[in-house]
Amino acid sequence: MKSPFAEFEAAMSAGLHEMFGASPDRVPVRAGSPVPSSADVVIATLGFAAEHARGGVTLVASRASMRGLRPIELDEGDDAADCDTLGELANMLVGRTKTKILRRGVVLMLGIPVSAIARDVRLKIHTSDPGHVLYAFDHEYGRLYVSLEVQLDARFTFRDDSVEPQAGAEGDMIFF
Amino acid sequence: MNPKVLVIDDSMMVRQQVKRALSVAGFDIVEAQDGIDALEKANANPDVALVICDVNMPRMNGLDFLEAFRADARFQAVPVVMLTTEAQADLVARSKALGAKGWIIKPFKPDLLTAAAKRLALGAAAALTG
Repeated sequence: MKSPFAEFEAAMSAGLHEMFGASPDRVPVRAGSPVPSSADVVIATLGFAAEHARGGVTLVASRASMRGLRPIELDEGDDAADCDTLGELANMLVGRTKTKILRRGVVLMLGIPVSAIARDVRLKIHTSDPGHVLYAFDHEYGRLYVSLEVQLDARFTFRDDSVEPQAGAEGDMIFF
Repeated sequence: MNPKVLVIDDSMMVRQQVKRALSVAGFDIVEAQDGIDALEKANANPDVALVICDVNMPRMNGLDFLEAFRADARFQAVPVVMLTTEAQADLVARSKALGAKGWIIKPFKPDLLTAAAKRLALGAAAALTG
């Protein structure tokens, strides 16, 4: 049986797979910076909370790698466009994670993505923390790092006996 | 004159994607980045024919916008479609109770969004010929 954190991790990993069409690699958890940040990077984070749980997803990408993530509608190389793109990717990833966790009877309340251009980024990762995982996803233009951190208190449980109803899946259109 | 669509999303990327899809189909786009901005843009564009609205946004979220929009007599008949990553049934039910006409779960398919916009903004005849 998976731990509650492993369930969150599986949900996020499945969301990544749906978004990028391939499974990311799990990066060995270690303190310090796994992010090559001698140059500017784009960073986006989005928090969430549920009953007896809170956490967040952080995405980090080099400016060069944003070329492969930015839609053609946005101007190339623009700070605002890169921040917006990574923030929306965080939003879509957490949204997919929420949909999967919803099937286990837990409702995640989502925050608003916050993005920035940064340099010398070091994600705080502690090897003793079982509630933190880091993924790396390689694509044509570089690497996207995805960090998931979840804090669960002892009272947290999935409520499979009272699964929250869902309106549909990604891409669905519902008319009233 | 082309029908106007008010597109509300705090993501510039999403607004541009919606704009690209609907502009090709002959709609004029008015952009807003949150619910408060959208109410101001609606006031400035009372002839808006359709609203496409995100749910989770800063300052004023999409459902609160919808409630305020519907409270204005000028906009009671304007169709509103929610476009969001949320799939939570009670949020969908609340939007329906507030008068939304539809709910699209991101990521959206541009051709389906265009068909929905035609159907809602231009009526069934345009959708059949479109």
